[in-house]
Order: sequence, then structure tokens, then C-alpha cells
Amino acid sequence: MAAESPLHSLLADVRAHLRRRALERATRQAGWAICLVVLTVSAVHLLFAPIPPMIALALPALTASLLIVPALVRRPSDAACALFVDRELGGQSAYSTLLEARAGNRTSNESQAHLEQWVNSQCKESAQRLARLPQQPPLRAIATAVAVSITSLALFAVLPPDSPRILASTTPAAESPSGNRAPAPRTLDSALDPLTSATRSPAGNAGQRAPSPRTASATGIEDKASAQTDAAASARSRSRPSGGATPSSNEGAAGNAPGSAVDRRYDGATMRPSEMPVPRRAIDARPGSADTQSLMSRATTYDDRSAALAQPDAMLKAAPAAPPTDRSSATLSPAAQDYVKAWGSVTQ
Amino acid sequence: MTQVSNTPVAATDVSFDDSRRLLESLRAALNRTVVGQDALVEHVVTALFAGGHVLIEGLPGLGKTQLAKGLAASLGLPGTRVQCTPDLMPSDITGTEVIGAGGQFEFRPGPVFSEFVLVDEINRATPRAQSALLEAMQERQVTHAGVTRRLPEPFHVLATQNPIDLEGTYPLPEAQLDRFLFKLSVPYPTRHSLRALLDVALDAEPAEALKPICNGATVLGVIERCRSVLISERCKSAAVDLILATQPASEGPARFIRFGASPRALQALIRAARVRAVMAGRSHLDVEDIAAVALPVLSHRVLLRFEGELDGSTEQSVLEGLIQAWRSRL
Repeated sequence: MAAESPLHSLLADVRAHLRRRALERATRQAGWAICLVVLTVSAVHLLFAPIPPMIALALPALTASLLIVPALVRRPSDAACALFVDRELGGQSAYSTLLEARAGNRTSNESQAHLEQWVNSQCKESAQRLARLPQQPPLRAIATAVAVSITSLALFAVLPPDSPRILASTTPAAESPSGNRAPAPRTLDSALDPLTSATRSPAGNAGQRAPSPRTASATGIEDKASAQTDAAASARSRSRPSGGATPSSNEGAAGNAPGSAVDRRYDGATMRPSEMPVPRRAIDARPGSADTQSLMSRATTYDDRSAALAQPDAMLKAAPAAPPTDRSSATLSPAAQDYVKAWGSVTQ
Repeated sequence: MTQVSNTPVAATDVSFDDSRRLLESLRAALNRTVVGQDALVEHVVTALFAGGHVLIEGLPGLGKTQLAKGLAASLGLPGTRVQCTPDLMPSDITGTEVIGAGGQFEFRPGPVFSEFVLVDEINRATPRAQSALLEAMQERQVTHAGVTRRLPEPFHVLATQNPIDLEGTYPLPEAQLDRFLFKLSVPYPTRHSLRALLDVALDAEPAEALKPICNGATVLGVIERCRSVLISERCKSAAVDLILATQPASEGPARFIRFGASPRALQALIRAARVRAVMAGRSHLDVEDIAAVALPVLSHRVLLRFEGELDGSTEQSVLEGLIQAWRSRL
């Protein structure tokens, strides 16, 4: 028994190491699996049918249990430990051979005795190699997986509890031929409006945050879905820089200064407004060819862009679009207010 | 059919440690004889104590015959030499019957009746003469005129062949190639080895100065000891995987293989690997032992497709790719 002591202690150490590694691996996998489950549940909740919170919480818990509990319960066998020593700790197949020889007991005694002696002499070195293996768990990977899972759970928590009904009621219902009101077809813009509001909220637009749908529903206004949608839309319009143009309006005609205009042409349902300034020439506001010819007599070199900039009145007169309405409800920046006033004075 | 058996030599009981020391001493003695061919010497010793035969291929003057002489001298085994030529007859190898003193035919054993046979330039012998070696190498017996005679134990054949001057040669058939445990190539020595050669062998052949460090009984004892090496299930599976990896496939390096290694190659692989384990002072096999002998065991047991030859691949390069992939899966 004394001769088996080094081998058994080594196998015990290896077993503990393998269990620790299995638990770490299971924890990582559980974190990512929870994230996947929550995303799936969220998608089902938003697009098909509302999922009760208890079920939504039970599914990730069940997933984590299925992954972590076996790692906790399973005990690596002696053969698995011996194989690990053979592969990773310089065992040179001795440990698995010895275990098989002991189990089979059909080999020559001299070979087995020599092998036992060899194994006992190598146990110390193998234990040292085991000690040199990284013992610290991969905290960063585990923390990342756990953080992602917690974040996904938190995102699910801010989702409207009965979003499919809300989405269905945000658009006017069409009158069916039989006289019943058929469920209105959901547009992508309206369907994703609460979602975009919810997902934008933690993004950092603290000053322009839309009211949380869950908060709104908690105060009992979830039946007034159209009003909520309007609130979300107004919040979205507030979150845009002032320019007054709706996504479908002609921004060039709206009179943004050439070169400083911000491209606002985006699909509100699927894209966030780009903040990248796009140099743009005021094509519609520049003078026509007759004006250009008259201006050409004033300079030997002519840059239509600089000339257009030099004559804002001509540009404004040439603008075909209607001036933006002065929406008193909207909060405009000082520069935008000046801009609106300038439009008013020109058109009057 | 009459059976005539020689008096068997009783094997000496040799321990694992004694076997390892003997193998080390033998390698050291041969390395002093053939300078700069350490890997070749190691493989030859491995093959002989695995009970196999060796085919050495190399250019003239690289020390093949010198190695064979030194091996026979170090092992203390009576050796014979067969210089193969196109007019060599099978009876020149196995023996013939002559009229004795009493007027009766009596069998005169050929050079194959020896513990250590050096067959020089074996590819110059005719297929008929080459086939005379087949039964001797595989069955370790010779049948002549209806009488089967056992060859002495131990019995080793070390054959050489030149890869040049192929005019008038008869390449060994695959069946006979498969009977060699190892096929080894003699590399050209390095500059350092060439310089050392001048100090070792300039006016005399060092093989003639070698003293025997063992005898036939000891050699048999070491062979028996190597056979008692323990083999784990992991190593057996690894060896089988390697043999199966050499079978023709539709992708990977094996796509160039026309015929893969035979089951006899699997046996040869394990037998040779056991000797490597004893050389390392172990009584158990490791997968690294298998990997160390895989190339010399398999290189003459696979046949490449024509596409492989067009691609510029050789048996060695294909097998190296296979062995590398096999090791990564262990």
C-alpha cells in the first residue's frame, strides 16, 4: 500500500484538477448558453407570443443546471486521470498501462514490477508538472460569460411584458370585408419602435431618453398604445439634431449649410441616424445657369460653390421646398432657432 | 516432409536494466565504427532486437557493409556474406547436396544457415535467387529436396542495395520488401562526421577491431525481454489508427497512396516500438516509441499512385504528413 501512495496521491490531485477544469468550462458554457436562451426567448416574446417571466427565468436556470450540475457531480475515473498524466504530465503511457496491468493481471510479474518502480519514481516529477500547470481559473473568460448572461437577462427585463399585443395595436386595424376589425398589419417601424426605445435607453442618451415602455405600462397606459407610440416617436425626433427634416423630407431643400449638413436619410426602422458629417453641395440652392453666367462676368475664375456660398439670398430664393414649420412643441437648439427665423424672414 | 532442427540456443535471462545497458553499449560501439550515422545505427539495432530483417539502401561507400560487419562482430554472432550477382543460384544461398565421403548425398548448408547474414546488393540477384530468401526470412527454415531444415536462432538478414547503377538489377518485389522489418536509407555524412572519420578509420577497418559484447544467448534473452514489454490499450489503438491512416483515401496526404500498410506492418510497428521502449529503460510502450519507428517500418510498405509521383511526393513525404496528423490526434 505504501508503494501505491505516490500514485494514488497523484491521481487524486489530477482528479481535483480535472474537476476544477470541468467546472470552469461548464460555467463558461452556461454563461453563453444563458445568453443564447435569453435571446431566443426575447425574440419569441417580441415576435410571436408573450412569454411569462417565470418561464423566461426558468429556461436559463434549467440550462445552467444542465451544464453545471454534471460537472459538479461527475467524478473523473482513474483511467481518465491516468490518461491525463500520460498526455499532459510526461507519463509516457505508464500510468494507464499500470492501471490496465493491475486490472488484467495477466502480464509478467517482472514487467509489472519494473513498471510500478518506474511509475513511483516518476510520480514526483509528474506532480511537479501538475503544480506548474496554471491553477488560476480563467477569470476573465468566466466573468465575460457571466456578464453577458446577466446583461441579456437585464435586457429581457426591460422588454414590455406583452409586446405582441402592443405591437399589434400600434397600427390602425383594417376593416375586414365582413365588418370585423382584422388585426392590423404590423410595420417594421412600428414593431421595432418600443424595442429601439428600450435598447437605446441604456446606450447613454441620458438627456434624450424615451420613456421606458415598462414604466408606461406599469402606470396603466399600455392600452393607449398609439399615444405611447407617439411619445416614442417624439422622443426619437428629439433625439435627432435639429434640422427639422423628417426622414422623408428633402434635406437639401431644407437649406442646411453646404458642407455642414448631416445626412439624415435613414430608415428609421432599421438604422440609427448617422452622426458622420457628409460634405454636400447645395445643388438645389445654387444659382441657375443664367445666374452663373451673370456672375462669371465678375471674376476671371469662378467656383460655383463659393459663389453660391457668397450669395445666401440667391440660394434661399432658389430653394423650391417649403420652409420648415415652427413647431413650438419641439425643443430647438439656438442655431436651429436662428435658422428657422431666417427662413421665416426670407419667405415673408 | 522431413524436419531437421538445430539445437536451439537457450536464451539468457536478462533484466530490463541489463537489456537497456546492452543496447546502449551496442549502439556506442557501432557509432564508433560508422561515424555520423547515429540514427541509422539506432534503427538497425532496433530492428535486430525486434527479430526482424533490415534493408539498407544507400550510395556506395557510405558504410553499409562496414555497419553489417561491425554489428556481427559486436553481437558475437557468426556471420556470412552473400554477394549477389545475376548468375547467383538459389542453391548458392540455401545450400546443396553433394556426394559425401561414403558415396551418399549429404546436404551442405548454404550461407543462409547462419545467425547473421549479410546479403550485399540484393537487387542484383535474379528474382529466383531472391525468392530463395523468402522462406528463410519469414519462416526461418529452408526446404531442400523435400527436407525442411530450421535455421539457427537468432537469425537476422541485413541486405543492402544501391539506388544507382540500376542496369541489370531486379528490383525487389513487394512481397519480399514486406518481409523486411525496416527499410533504411543511409544519408550522406556531415562535414563534422567526415572529419571524424579520418581519425577513426584511415588505414584500418574499425569493424575488425570490435570485440563481442554479447553472444547469441544474450541476444535471444534481450529479444525475449523486449517481448515482455507492456502495451496499453491506448498504444494499441494508436498503432491501429496509424496503420489505418495509411490506407488510400480521397483527401489528405493519403490521397496519393495506392496501397496502404499491411497487417504485418502493424505487427512490425509494435515489435520495433517495444525495443525502443527497452532502449529508453521502460517496461511499457509509449506512443512516442511507435512514432519513432513509424517511418522505417512503413516507408517500403506503401505504394504511391501515379498522381502522387506527378505531384512530386515520395513515400517518405506522404508518410511524414500522415504521421504528423496522427500525432496531433493522440
